[in-house]
Amino acid sequence: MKTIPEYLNDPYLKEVEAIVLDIVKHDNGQVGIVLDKTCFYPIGGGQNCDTGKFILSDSSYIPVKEVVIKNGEINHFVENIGEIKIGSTVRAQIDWERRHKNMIIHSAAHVIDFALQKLNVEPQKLKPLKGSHGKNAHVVYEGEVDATLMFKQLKKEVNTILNSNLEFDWKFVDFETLKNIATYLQPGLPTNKPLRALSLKNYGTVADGGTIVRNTKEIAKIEIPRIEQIDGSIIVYYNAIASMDSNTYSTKPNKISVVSNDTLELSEYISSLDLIKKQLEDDLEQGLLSVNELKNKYLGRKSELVQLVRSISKINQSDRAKGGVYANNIKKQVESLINSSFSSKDSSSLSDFDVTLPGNSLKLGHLHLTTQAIREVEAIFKRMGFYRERYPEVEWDYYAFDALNMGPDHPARDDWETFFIDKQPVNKDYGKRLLTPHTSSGQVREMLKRKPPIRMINISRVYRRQLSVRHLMNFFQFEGLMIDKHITFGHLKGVIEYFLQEFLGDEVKYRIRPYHFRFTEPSIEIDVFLGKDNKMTKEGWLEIGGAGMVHPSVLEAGNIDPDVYSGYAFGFGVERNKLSVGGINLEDIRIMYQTDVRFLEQF
Amino acid sequence: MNIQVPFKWIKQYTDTKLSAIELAELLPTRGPQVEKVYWDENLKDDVFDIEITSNRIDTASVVGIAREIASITNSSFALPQSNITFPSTDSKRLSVEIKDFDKCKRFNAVVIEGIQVKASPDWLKSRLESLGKNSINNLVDISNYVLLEYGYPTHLFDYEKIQDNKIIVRKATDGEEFVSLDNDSYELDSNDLVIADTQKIISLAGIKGGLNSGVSERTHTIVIEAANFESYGIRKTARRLDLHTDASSLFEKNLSALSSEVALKRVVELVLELAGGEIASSLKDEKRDDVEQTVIEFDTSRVKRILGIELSKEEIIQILESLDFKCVNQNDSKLSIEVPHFRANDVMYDYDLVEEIGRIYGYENIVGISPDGSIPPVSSNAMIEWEDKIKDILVGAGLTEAFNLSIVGDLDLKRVGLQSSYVIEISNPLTEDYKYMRRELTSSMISTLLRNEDFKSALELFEINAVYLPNQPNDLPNEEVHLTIMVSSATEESAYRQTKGYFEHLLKTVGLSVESFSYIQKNYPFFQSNMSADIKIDDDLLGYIGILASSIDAKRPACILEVNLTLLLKYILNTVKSFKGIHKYQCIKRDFAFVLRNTVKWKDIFEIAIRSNELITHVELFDIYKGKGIENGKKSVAFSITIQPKDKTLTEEEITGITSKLIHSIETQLEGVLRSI
Repeated sequence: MKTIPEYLNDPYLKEVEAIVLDIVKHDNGQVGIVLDKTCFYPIGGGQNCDTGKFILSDSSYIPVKEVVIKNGEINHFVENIGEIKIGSTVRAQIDWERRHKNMIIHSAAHVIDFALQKLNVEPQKLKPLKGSHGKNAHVVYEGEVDATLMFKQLKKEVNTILNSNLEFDWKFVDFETLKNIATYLQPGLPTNKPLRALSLKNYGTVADGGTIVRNTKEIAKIEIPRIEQIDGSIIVYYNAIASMDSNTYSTKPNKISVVSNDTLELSEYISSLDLIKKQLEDDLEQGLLSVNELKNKYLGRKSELVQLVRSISKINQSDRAKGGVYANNIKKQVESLINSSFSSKDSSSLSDFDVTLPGNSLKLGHLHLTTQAIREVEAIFKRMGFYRERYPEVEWDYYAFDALNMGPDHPARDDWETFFIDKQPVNKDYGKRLLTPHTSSGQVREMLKRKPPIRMINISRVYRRQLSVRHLMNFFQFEGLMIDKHITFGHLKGVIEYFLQEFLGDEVKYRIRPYHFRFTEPSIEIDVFLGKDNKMTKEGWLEIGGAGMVHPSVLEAGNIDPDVYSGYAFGFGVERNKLSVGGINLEDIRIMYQTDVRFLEQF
Repeated sequence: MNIQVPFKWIKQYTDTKLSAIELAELLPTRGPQVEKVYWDENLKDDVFDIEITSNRIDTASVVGIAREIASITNSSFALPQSNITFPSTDSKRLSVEIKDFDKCKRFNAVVIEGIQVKASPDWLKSRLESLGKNSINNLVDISNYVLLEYGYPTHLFDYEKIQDNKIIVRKATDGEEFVSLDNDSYELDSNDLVIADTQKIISLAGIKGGLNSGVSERTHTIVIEAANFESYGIRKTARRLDLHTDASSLFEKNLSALSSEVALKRVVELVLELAGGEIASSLKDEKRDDVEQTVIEFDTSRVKRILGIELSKEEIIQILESLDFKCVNQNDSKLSIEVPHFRANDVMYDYDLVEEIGRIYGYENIVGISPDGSIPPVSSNAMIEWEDKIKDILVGAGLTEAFNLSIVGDLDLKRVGLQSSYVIEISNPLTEDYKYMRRELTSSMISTLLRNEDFKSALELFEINAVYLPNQPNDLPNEEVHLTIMVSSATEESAYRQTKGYFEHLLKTVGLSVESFSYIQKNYPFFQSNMSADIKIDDDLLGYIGILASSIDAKRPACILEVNLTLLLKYILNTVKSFKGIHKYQCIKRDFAFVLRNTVKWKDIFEIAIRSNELITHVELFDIYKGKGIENGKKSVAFSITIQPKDKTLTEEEITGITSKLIHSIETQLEGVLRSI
């Protein structure tokens, strides 16, 4: 054989760099590649071959479908040799999962074998015939035994081996040496070349050419569902499961239980249960498994624990109750151990459900800051029974000024203060058209439209002949008007207090200052204290709006008898209040109405 | 306007026990709007910075503030007493004539001879300097001092420079020249009021003295003027000439004509004290008939009615008298209240007295009352309510709300092809860029697109706002509410379909049937030709939708839709959602794709499909494909239909019957060729 079988030296070798020695085209059309060394195990000895790939220098790869010893050489069968030539270097890489599974099963067969040899079952020594270490794994011996007795003893011995964490050891020796040390020799071994002697401490030595795990702890469990006796042969069927951590070579004690269709001893049952709990404690201490993995391993449908609980019927009738109580107790402990360990930790680091994943992104619209501000105040006043109205923005002189007790000399009527449509009056009753400078122009219109009781708010655009970084020529005000019999200043104060508490919180600090408006008497301004750090305030105070008791002459303009009815009105800014209360100091307030998406999308 | 008042000066008139800090907190809640109080290191004194509201120009002085403090803090208040008597005859002759009583209500004057012009005493200098006024000489300083102390402007003339000893208050003639004390020349017109002698203007009334008549080092006889001028005229002249003085800013606020005599007497007193001399004329007092003390008949029950507080008659009188009002007569709850001279323009009616009582009582002492009484059976304006709902629907769908100014300029009109005669124009715009009231929102959206397309490639915005539609000439415009939606996208078709998609989403959400809206191709100058349509429902033209013309110069294809929401609201309000029962049988969906000519419209495919069988309830387009595999000039149109069985489950044969008919109709009527899917 030209190839060095590295898998015999190191069954954990997953990849070797090798030189292609030969490319053989076989009759069946397959192409076999022969390497100078390999980690691929060829089919044989009851163990299935490895598969994997050859990675070429350009990182492309060719799949290896099968590995067989043909004509004395290890042939790696590929469908297409691609760029591979004799003399090429390839990285031969095995499918480790497949190998590991094969290795566990093959190793388990040896555990069973060593156990059987140890038992030295009477009446005669069993003679190994063959094994099959793939699906439906089994080992076959020549001889006849009391199968029932052997079954019990075998399980016990297998458990003992697995729980003892025994090391497999191997070395290459000549035939003669092997003959001396081996428990037995299978027929047909070559006598002229080194052979591998496989030993398990205290159990003996056999000849073997398969891949073997380093320590029995890597095998979590060996199940032996049945033993058959046919024509002087004994067939032991088995299955093996790798430890969860068998790839990690941890040194912690391993644990095993054997479940079979046979009867169970109570003591064995209890010790199996104890072992499971111990194993869980070890797993929790290591903290490598997620809560789902732990639940699956210990409480899942196929878990050892659940299997054990189900197999309670295998215990003698007399011990069954005891076993059941014990099993349930352990199950509860396992559950609470898993649950408590995860509730006491930051579970996010252990759960494989990633709660930090981002949500799917939907399109996000934005309401304009002004609309938001309007809604805040509107909602508060609606709760107090106010309804919302709207009156013309392009308005008559009369409603904007005369009806509000602002005579022709009033400074606001100067054409450097207010936008006018007309230079001269165009209507003999109503005068000139203008852009209303305040929402108060709706007061008399509302009075003429409805009889008291009136509880109106009018949130609307107003216009001032100004434009700077501090002033908009077009901004919003909201106006409130309440008219009824016996409305006093106390009612005005009540509504202001309610508004401020809703708008700014119960702890709001405010003050009322006497002020002067032509259409209210008394007139006041309302300040709220926002803290001296707020840059939008004067010494901490923000002037939030004006108010007062409706002037008798305004009521008269609205055809309402001031001797019967009284009322209050208030007018507050919208944008500036919203910005100020939010502590938003816009360097240039004009951005409010420039529709800059970079601004809009922040609100 | 704001004034600064040193605390020590105030204390000359009142003995308030409160500290400056305490006063700064208290006063704004009672009257004087103290904005801040600060320590002046030069004065070694606290100085109040106070905003004067336009109705309380009487408080724009040290005495005015001191009087308020005395009343508010219940402290004593005293002015310097004077014992001046004026002779009944003139030793120096002076006559005063007011030619325009509209603009000058009153004119007081007196002559003092033998005065000595010299430097002011230190106390006077420091008082002036403390408030930023330079000391000139004793006479000028006295006038300035009284302005600060009493808040009333006075003026001093050199008696010798007044021609014929005659003062005439008259309007200027157009083009008449006035040269001020500062040697600046102004051209006046007939709206300006001047003080003149028989030959020349000697002062611009209420604003500034003239160069030709001022007091100099050699002056030994002076005329002291304390007059009262109409505020509006002063404001107009000061503004037109851009000549703003302490005097003009006070007169602009409508000083009381009753106060001029008080100010004059204070000046005389100080002149005699600091410059010597003797009064050489009678007190000239020309005035309008209505310049007289006001007495208000006051029914004290008004206090309870307006303020909601119970005060006894005595408490009411006590508050009013602390503010220098006098109760001259009382009869049960009826009081006759005489208004002090300095409040004559401010307190004229009983409700004005209620305000005085309310503020001194303290508004914070009035208990707030929650809104009580009956709630008006009125709903909010439906348009406003629906605007809010529509905004929520569109924002929820992912659009961002734009908010533009309602005033636009020539460029905006030009972009949408509007003549200025079709819009409301402002007669006194601030700038040419903002002079029309917009009658559509499209132009604002176009500006928005151009302003933002560099920041964001796919813009998706809407705006809901009023537009102003001119009505009859000389009438107010109709203010209607419009909605505009704008989407910029990679292709015309995707921009169009997204825009329309948002609009249809809105229609469906408010319960309107999308099928009742028709899109009729129509060209507009701001849309690419053949890529725009009118949107109609019934016979109403609701608005339009289209791809912006390339002349707009947008970087990417953009679609704009604008509809009249006021009109749409009619339909929304008529929508009734009725229960149509629940189908018992499961519906069946089938997909089709046809190859059709590019000119075939979806509307035609839709109509044929939905009409081919009454059980077909929905026809939905899901793909249009042109290109590889489809011959030139053709497109593949894929859609799905929903068949809703009514009274039984359909057999496969029946379904095939329905679909075959549909396929056949499209093949024969639209020359479509079925593609296999």
